[in-house]
Amino acid sequence: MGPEGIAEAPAGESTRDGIFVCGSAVGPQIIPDCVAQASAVAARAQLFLTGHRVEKHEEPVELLDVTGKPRIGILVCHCGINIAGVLDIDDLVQYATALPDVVAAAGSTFACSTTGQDELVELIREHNLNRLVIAACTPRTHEPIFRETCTHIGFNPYLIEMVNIRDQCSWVHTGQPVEAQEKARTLIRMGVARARQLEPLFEGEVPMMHSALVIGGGIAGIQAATDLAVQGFPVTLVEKEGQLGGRLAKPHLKYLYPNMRPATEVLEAKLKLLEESGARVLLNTDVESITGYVGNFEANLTGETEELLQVGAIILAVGADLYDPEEEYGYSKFPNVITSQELETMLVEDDKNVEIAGSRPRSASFVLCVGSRDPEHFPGCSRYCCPTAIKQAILLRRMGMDITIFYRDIRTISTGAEEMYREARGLGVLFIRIPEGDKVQVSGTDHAESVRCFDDLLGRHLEVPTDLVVLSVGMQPKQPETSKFHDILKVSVGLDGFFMELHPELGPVETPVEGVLLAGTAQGPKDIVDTVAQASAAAAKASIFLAHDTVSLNPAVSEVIEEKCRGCGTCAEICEFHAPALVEIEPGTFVARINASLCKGCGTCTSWCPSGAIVSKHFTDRQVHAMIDALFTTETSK
Amino acid sequence: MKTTSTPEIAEIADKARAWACYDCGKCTATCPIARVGGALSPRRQVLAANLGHREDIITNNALFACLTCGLCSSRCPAGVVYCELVLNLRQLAFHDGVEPECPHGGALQSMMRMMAKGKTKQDRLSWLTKDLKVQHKKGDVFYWTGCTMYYDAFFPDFNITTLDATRAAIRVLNRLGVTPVVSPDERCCGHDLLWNGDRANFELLARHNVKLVESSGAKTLVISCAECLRTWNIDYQPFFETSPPKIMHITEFMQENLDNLKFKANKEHTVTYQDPCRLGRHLGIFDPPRAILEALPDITLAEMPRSGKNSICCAGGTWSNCDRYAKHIQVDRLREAKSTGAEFLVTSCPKCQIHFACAMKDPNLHEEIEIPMRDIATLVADALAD
Amino acid sequence: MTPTKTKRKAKSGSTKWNPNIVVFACNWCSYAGADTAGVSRIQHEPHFRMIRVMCSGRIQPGFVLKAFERGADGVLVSGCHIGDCHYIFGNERALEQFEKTKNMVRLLGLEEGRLRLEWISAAEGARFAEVINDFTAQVRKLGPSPLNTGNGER
Repeated sequence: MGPEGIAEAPAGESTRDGIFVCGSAVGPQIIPDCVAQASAVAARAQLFLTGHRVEKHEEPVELLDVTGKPRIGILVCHCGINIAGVLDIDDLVQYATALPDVVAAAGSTFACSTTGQDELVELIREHNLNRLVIAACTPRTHEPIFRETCTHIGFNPYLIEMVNIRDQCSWVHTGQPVEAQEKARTLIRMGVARARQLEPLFEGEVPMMHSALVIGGGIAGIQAATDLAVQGFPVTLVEKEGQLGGRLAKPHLKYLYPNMRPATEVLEAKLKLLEESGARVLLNTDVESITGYVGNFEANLTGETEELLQVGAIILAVGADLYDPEEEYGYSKFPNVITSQELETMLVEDDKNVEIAGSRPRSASFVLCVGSRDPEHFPGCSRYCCPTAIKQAILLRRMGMDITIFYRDIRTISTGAEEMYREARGLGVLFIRIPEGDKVQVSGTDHAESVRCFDDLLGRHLEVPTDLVVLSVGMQPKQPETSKFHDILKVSVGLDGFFMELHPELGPVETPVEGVLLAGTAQGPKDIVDTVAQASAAAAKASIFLAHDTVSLNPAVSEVIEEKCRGCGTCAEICEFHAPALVEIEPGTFVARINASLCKGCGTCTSWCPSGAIVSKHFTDRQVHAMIDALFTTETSK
Repeated sequence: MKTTSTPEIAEIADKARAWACYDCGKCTATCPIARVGGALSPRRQVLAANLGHREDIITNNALFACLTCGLCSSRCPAGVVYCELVLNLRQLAFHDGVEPECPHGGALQSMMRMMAKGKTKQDRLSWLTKDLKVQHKKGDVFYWTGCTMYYDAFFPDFNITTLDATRAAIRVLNRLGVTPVVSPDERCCGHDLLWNGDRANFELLARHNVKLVESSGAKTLVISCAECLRTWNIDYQPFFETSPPKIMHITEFMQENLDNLKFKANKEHTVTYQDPCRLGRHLGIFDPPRAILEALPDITLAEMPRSGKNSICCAGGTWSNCDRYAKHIQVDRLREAKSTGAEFLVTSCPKCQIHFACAMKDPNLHEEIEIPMRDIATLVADALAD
Repeated sequence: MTPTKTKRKAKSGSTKWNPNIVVFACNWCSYAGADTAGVSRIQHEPHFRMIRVMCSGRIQPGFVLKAFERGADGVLVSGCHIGDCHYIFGNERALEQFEKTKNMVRLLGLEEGRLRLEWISAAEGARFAEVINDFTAQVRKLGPSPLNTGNGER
């Protein structure tokens, strides 16, 4: 354990082989970081288990016959008092019994519990059901549980309809039980109507290529490629520059905070591991285009190496750009106004002595949040710059300079950074807070002479004479790479311009495009520790795909009824994922076909198809219309 | 196979003279759908109706695949009224809960049913421009607009404005000294619902519309849309309580008044003419549009090889059958139109324009099949001497 | 069958007219937002019924028109915020469809206030509740839809 009593485990590895630490046990952190780190740790743990990769384990089950007239069973969940405390479950069960095609209805204390699942299986078997309606909580969290149970007994999982009477009823209409009861009844009626129209769907399979492509040879790419290659997956790491290491490589970075380990040392260690891992490294090589889908991507490589590379998964580790201050703070005007990156390069050359235009500055001012927390450029926090500025300030302070740091808020969330902050203060580094919405002014004639800032506490302007101004620049989406891969892979980009993860907590390294994962600052600003953890997480997630021999395809996608298709191409035109394409089936006659592996099942094409030729499976017109009809048909009839 | 005939089917078959079929197969040989490979055999349908096997007839996809273009009946030596058969069988199917899978997600059917319910005050006439003289309640001539304002709202990306024809018709009427009644209370004629099998909603619309026109005191009802015209002329007849007004297509009205229309010289145009099925084969109106085209200065009509009685349908009526085969028929028809060397394809039904415009959106064929379209009324209105 | 009245009578139920509102929601944002309202127990008006689809891009004019045809007093179309769509641009397509639907609804003579489009994220439970309350109040003010014949007849 470290001095704070928290496990000391950079990137999850503890001091004992085979024991890993993750989450808040390493240090306080938010859920997305916890999840990314947990995945990273899992990847590391896998390295000890090479040869025991994830295997798909399934016992064949006999499929139940679900054909014929709908025989619907309904389970109404009490969810303890969560639902039963507001709604009258007996009334709902009784009400459901009278609905068309319903042959069985029962209450369940906790439908998702083991007992509840057993009751469900019993209900299906006893009444020979071919449709199931579960009135309980939200399908977003619990549908997978019920689907799994049903799959185990051979009941097609797409014949389940969940009715949300907890999250969207009992929990939010607690004070209006009469209205809530009426709402629950209607929702059940609608659910039954939809269930009558459900169709069994079957997951398709396509073979999985077991290799991976890592794009970008910075620390994130190196880490991800190493982790995957060590597990035995063929990995190609593509870097468009002539050397690996990105910002860690010379001449960009001298020391890593908080331990002041030389960047070169860390990079060398990482590169050694990469080499040992057997990953193939292609320098001066770019990715021109990518087609395909999870398990079967095809990347067109250009540059020093030109080839068509087939891979099963892709890790995007293209990194980030640093903000260019241009005219701001006299950056383009004064030779002694430099960026934190430029200072770092100077430190790489000589970390005992800093010279600007031949003279040694005796004082230095740091301006934080340049290009970050700025609605005009990047409204978010770049995360790395506070600790970096403090690290640099300590180094300059040790050279004997007077240091002032102009900051908005000091954010030292990474392990050891707060301690470093305290150390800087102890060394006499002066911290001055820039008021909200304000900016510091750098003034001088031919070089910067002072930094001026209003101090909220003192209620007056402060003017700090200075020989050197260091602008702590934030991160920016890497261009043109971000736009390019957004275009060719259809990976979403968030409002901040960085690649957007699938979900901050549920999928911090995944993207909406299956098989494409994010590592490092391509996804948003982060420091090296977080980058490494996230890269390992991306590798772990990629290995989950790659370990399979086949990719199962979501069957709830869109499908073209070719007889109805007019070949107008509207679907092909609007689909962001290039799933539909026109095929000439006889001279002059075109029909659309949808590649089920590319289709995400959003159903937008269905709503645009003029002739009704596209069916959004599991969300068909019939199913939706049945719900609307049921909503307004108050009388129940068998 | 069960052969017990339910009374309804026997009655329907009887009315349509299905019994007269002697199985020659000319219907299937001429059927435009069958010709492009669609699974529709009118002969089989007639036979099934005669056998009276309800389930077999009404759940058969072919029932809704038929364009009801009437081409088969025009060739039938036994005089089987095939459209009549389909119309009534569809009502039976609808009654049994079998409905066509509607294109556009059924949006247009919903629109029609909302009008059938009535109760709302439609914003139906906001397209009227100041230069158009109309009255809203009473008058000698009632001009039936049809639902072009809805089509233009629903198909904004088709680059056609079917309302142009509606406005043009009023402009021509005005020129003839007629200030027609154009009613904000007009509702969908119910043609499509009727042909989808939804008789109940059709009747609601029929009653309302007949009453509306009756209460206007109009002696003449002028209609632009070929489908509305067929509906008024044939399907609305039982709903009149007083003697019906004279119901005329806009081309018939214009033809009758040709002497009073003065035209200016035009840039010379060769046009070809698409006979809407409802106007042509259903109602026998082939000549008036041709007479008008003839009367327009500098307009030459280049007929398509299949025209008049032999004309081919735009393959999209009733918003219920829109598919690969319909598209095939449209593409063939547009090629045929282009082969005449015409600069414009002229028609007199907004639906023809919509369905051809949709076909022309083809990303692979558009140059081969693209031809500008005009409604005959706009052609006339534009040619009016100042 | 009418609901059992054994439970205590709702405070407002007896005097106010309660609209019948249909909400179309996408799985990833607005439906999730409604769930978030639930998790946070943010109470709101109960007079709406949700129909979930995967993406707002799936919400075609036919759905909305059908709801009005059957007698809905109000229809709320909802999805992810622009730029936040799970399927990248589905919501922008939904917007185009919505404009078309709105024009049809206007022509048909229903008040504009009966139809609304809202972007609600998965995190915005409070906003979901607010939108529902606001829309319910708005529709309540307009009164029953002329097409609401009480028995959903067709």
